[in-house]
Amino acid sequence: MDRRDFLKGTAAASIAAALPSSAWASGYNPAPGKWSTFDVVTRVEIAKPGKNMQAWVPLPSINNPDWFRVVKNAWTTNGRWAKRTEPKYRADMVHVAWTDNLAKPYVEVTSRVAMADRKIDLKKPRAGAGLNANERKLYLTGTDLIPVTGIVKETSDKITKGAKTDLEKVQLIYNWVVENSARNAKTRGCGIGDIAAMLKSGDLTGKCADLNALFVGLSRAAGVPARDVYGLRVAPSKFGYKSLGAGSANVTKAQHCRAEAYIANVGWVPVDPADVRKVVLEEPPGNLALNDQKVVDARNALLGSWEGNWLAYNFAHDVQLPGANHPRLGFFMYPQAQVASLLLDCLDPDSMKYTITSTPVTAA
Amino acid sequence: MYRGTCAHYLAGGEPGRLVAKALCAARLAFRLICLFIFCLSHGGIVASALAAGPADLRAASSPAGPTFRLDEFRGNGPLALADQRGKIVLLHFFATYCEPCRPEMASLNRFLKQNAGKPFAVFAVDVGEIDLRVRAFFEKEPVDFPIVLDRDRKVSKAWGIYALPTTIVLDEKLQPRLIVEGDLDWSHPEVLQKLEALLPARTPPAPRTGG
Repeated sequence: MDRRDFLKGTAAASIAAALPSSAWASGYNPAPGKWSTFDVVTRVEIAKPGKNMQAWVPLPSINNPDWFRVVKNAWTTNGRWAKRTEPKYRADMVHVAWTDNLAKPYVEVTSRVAMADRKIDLKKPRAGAGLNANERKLYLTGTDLIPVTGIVKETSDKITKGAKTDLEKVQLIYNWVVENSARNAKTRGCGIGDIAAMLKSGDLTGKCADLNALFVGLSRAAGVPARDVYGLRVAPSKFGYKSLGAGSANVTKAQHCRAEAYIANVGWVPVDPADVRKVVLEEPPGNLALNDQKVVDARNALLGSWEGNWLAYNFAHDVQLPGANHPRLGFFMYPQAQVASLLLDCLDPDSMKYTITSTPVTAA
Repeated sequence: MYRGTCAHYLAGGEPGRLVAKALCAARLAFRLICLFIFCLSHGGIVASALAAGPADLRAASSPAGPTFRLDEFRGNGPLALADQRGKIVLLHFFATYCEPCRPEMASLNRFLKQNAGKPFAVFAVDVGEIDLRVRAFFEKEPVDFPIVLDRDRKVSKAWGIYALPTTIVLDEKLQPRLIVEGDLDWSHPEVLQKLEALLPARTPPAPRTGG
C-alpha cells in the first residue's frame, strides 16, 4: 500500500476511534491514592580499567505533588564526583571521574523515591495548570531526533485535520500511534526515537523511545506542548499486567519512557501509547487484537492516567555529557561510562557492568 | 531473495563441490521454510522486513550529499569518501542493531572478493552508534572494506538516509547512479550486471607493432 494512502486511511479511522469512551474499564484503572516508596540502587563498575575513566548516572529529577517525589539521592564512589544538572531540561546526574588505571572503579547511587498512581480528568479544569512561555517554547520545539517540520508536520496535519481543540488533537494522535505502530521485540534497549526516519520509511515499529517519541513529535507539530518522560519500572503492576511492571527486584533492563501532553486549563496529561502496544505484544497469549479486553482497558487508561510503579528520571533530549566530547545523547535514561575516552555500551549491562535494583521501603 | 546467492553455487560453481552445493541447497530450503513461517506470522508487515531484490536497485534520483570525512571505526584516523574517486563505490549506510544489515555485510564482502581486479569499492558508514559497539560487531564478523562512524548522524541525514540498510552506488565521479533500500544479495547476476554497466569503458590495448 502506498504510504500516503495508508496515512489518509488511518487518519480517518483515528478520528472515529477518538470518540470518548463511555466508561472506564475495570481491568487497568490507575487512580490516585496510596503512595509507595522504593530504594533504587544503581551500581556502575568499570570492568576493564584504563585511562580517562568517567561515568554519568541519571538521578530522578522530577517532583510533582500529585504523583512523584524524590525523597533523597545519595552515592558512594572511589572516584572524584560532582552532582551536575543538564541546563536545558534540568536533568540531574552524578558525574564521576577516576584516576587512570584505578583498580575496581565504581559508583553506587541510591535514590529513595515515592510515587502514586496518576489520573487526570481530561474535561475538568484544574487550578494552577499553567505553562510559562519558556516551557511552552521548549516543549513545542523539535529536537535532534524529533523534528516538528517536514514529514512529521505533514503527518500530524493529516491526523489532526478537523480537530477543534488541543484535547481532540491529542486524542487523535494517541489513537493514531496506537493503531499504526507496533512494539518490536528485537529493538535494542528502548529504541532510538528517530521519528522522521520512522515516518519516511513507513516502519513504525520500535519500543517506548520510538513510539512515545512519535506521539511527542506529532503533538508538538500540531501545536500541543508534549514531552517524553524517561524512567524505570520499579515494581510489578498491581493490575496483573505482567508487561507493564518490573518482573523482579533486578530492574537493570526495566527502563521505560512515558509521555505527557499539555492541555490548557487541565495541565500535563499522562500518555503512554507505547505501553498499549506492549500489552498487545506481550500479554498472554501474546499478539492480542486491539479489541481484546486487556488491550481496550489499557488503551482507555493510558491517555489520562498511569500507574505509580515507575521512577521518573527526566524530560531531557540532546544531552551533552559534561566533561566529554561525545555526540549528544538522544535521551538520558541509561547510566553512561567511558574508558580511554570511548563510551561503553550502555545497552549491554554485561560489558558495561551495571546493575539497578529496586526495593520497596516499608514504613517503620 | 536467497535464490541469488545459492543459485550462483548451484547452477555454476566449480565441478566437484558437491558438499558445498548440498549445504547451499539445505540452507536455501531452510531459509524458504523460515520465510514461509515468518510470512504466516507477520502478515502485511513482512513486505518491509524482506530483503531487497535486484529490481529494487533502482536509478538514484537525488543528487550527491556533501563529501565527507569520518573516523575509521578502530580509531585509525579519518577516512574521506573523496579518496574513493575513480571507482564504482557502494556507499553503504548501516547499523549493527539492524538485523538485515548483518547478512548484507557478508554479501558485500563476498561481492568484493568475487570482483577483485575490477574498480569496485565499498565504503560503509555506521549510523549513530558508539565506537565500542561497532568494534565488537566487526571483531566477530570482520570485513575487508573501510567502515567509518557517523556518530551524530549528520552525514546520513545530509545524504537523505532514513532507512537502514541503504546503499547508494556512486560512479567514478562519486555521483549517485543507483540506490537500494533494504539488504541486497550483491552477487546476484542481475545486480552485477547493473554494477558492471557503470564501469568506465576500457580503452582497448594498442596493437603491438614492430619487432
